[in-house]
Amino acid sequence: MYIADYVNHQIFKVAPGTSKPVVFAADAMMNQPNDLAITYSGTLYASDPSWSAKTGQLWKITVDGRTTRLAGQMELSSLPNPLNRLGTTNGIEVSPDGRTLYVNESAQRKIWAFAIDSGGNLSGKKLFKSFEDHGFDGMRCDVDGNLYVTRYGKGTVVKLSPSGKVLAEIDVLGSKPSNICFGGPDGRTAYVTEVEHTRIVSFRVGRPGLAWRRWQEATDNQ
Amino acid sequence: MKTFLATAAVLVAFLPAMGFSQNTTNFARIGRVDRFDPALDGLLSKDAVIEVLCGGFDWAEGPVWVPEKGNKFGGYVLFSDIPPNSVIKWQEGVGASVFLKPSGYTGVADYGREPGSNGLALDAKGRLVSCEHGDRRISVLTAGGGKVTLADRWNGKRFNSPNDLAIRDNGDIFFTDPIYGLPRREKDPLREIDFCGVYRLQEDGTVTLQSKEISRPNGIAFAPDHKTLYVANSDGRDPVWRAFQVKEDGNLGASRPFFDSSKAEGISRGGGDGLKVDAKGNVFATGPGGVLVISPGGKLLGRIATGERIANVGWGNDGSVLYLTSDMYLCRIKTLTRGAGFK
Repeated sequence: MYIADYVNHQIFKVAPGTSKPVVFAADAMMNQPNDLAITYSGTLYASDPSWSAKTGQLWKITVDGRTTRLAGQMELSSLPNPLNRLGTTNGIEVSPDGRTLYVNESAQRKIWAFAIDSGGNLSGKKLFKSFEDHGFDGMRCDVDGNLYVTRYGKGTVVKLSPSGKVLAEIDVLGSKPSNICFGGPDGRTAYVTEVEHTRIVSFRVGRPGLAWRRWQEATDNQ
Repeated sequence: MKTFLATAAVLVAFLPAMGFSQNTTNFARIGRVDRFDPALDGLLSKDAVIEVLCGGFDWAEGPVWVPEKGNKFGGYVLFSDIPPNSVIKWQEGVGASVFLKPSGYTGVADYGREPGSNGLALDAKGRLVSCEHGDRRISVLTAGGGKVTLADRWNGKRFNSPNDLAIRDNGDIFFTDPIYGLPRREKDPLREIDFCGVYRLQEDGTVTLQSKEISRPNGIAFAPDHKTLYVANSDGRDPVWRAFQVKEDGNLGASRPFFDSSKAEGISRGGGDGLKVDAKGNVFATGPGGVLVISPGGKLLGRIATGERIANVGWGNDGSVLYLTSDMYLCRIKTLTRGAGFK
């Protein structure tokens, strides 16, 4: 299990069967980090907002703990536009085929889809979906690549198709859903952390979560 | 927006080893309890709250408690999610999962909006008995095997779509047969019976029509002594819950109006769906605006309002916890009474 330590600019790793976090990656150039996404091969992507500057960065962390800044912040002039300019990067997820990195900007209310190249770097950026009100927080894919996005402030989770169409919107009975994962016996229960009432809310979904399915496959192979 | 609490872990490994389980003390709360009569205080405490256990269902129905030996919580809840043709299992500390699919329709042709099972009950052997819309039958799920059809016809004609059931202490199953599970409902060309009946199904398979006086018979439950049978009418034009006398020979006798929502104060007029009776004879009947709590004398005492539409209720745990299938939610509320039949 990997944990984003938003205070100390680092990412912890907790090995299976243990409960002691060890520093997996650290970089003084990080603002936070805020949230993580993981690919099938174990590469991590981290969102890294600067709330005060309303900007953000994106990081790649390879399995050896090496950090690479992929996008964000203006001083990185070597990066081609438009990857330089990012808002408050927050929720982050990789599509099931590993070729798209979804990143939302909670202050700018935009969700971007970045193309991931064979080296795990970002090669393009297009607007996936934007909203006019409220914000975003964590988001996760199901096995079909539908993206479930927490609408922080609105109190819902929206289900977006791989083409960015709103397929469903689920009330989470509290205004501040902050993140989401899928679990339960069949991987088809969504668990949402909700900050207004500090509780976990669950609802059923049609297809299992992507991370849940990978966990099943990993344990089946043992 | 400050989302510092959004720091997230990517759960790629050992969720079970971490003992991650569903939060069991801090469920979301919705709705309210309306108190129309002081007698309600003896059934629902002033601080009773409606907890949402899980959501995301299409149309939840027929909650039934399944006791299980060795289970830390004493058992689990099964209920129907009718449109996706599924029975869902909800286990405290674990969450919800699909228990049975298909649950009420095994055909291949599209069968409309509500193909799945509806009302559920356990028989004396603890087996799951289902009202099945799409397969138009009452079935029992055998231990270690498939389903057995208990009845699918009356006088050689297929039922409309068995909706809800009540099992008597002698094993007789009483069930209602309105039209809601047929793809085109009352106009469906598949219909073979031109009324909506209340039937008795005996253990030898005999099916006898007991009543066709209710236009849309729906929820059905016995009083604690099994000498009265309550049946709801989901037809808003006749929003009357009727009480049938159960005769010595086991058939239904005359019925009387037990409760009429159009004449009750504090609620709007509307028909009823599923209902259950507590050990003291109070009727907990889904109706306009929520679960109506009605005294054995037919007086409206209060209402459990989730704020959503609601289809059915069922007691579980030690008999005091009332589970509510309310549209997309499975909810529960602690009561001060116990369901009839719980010891």
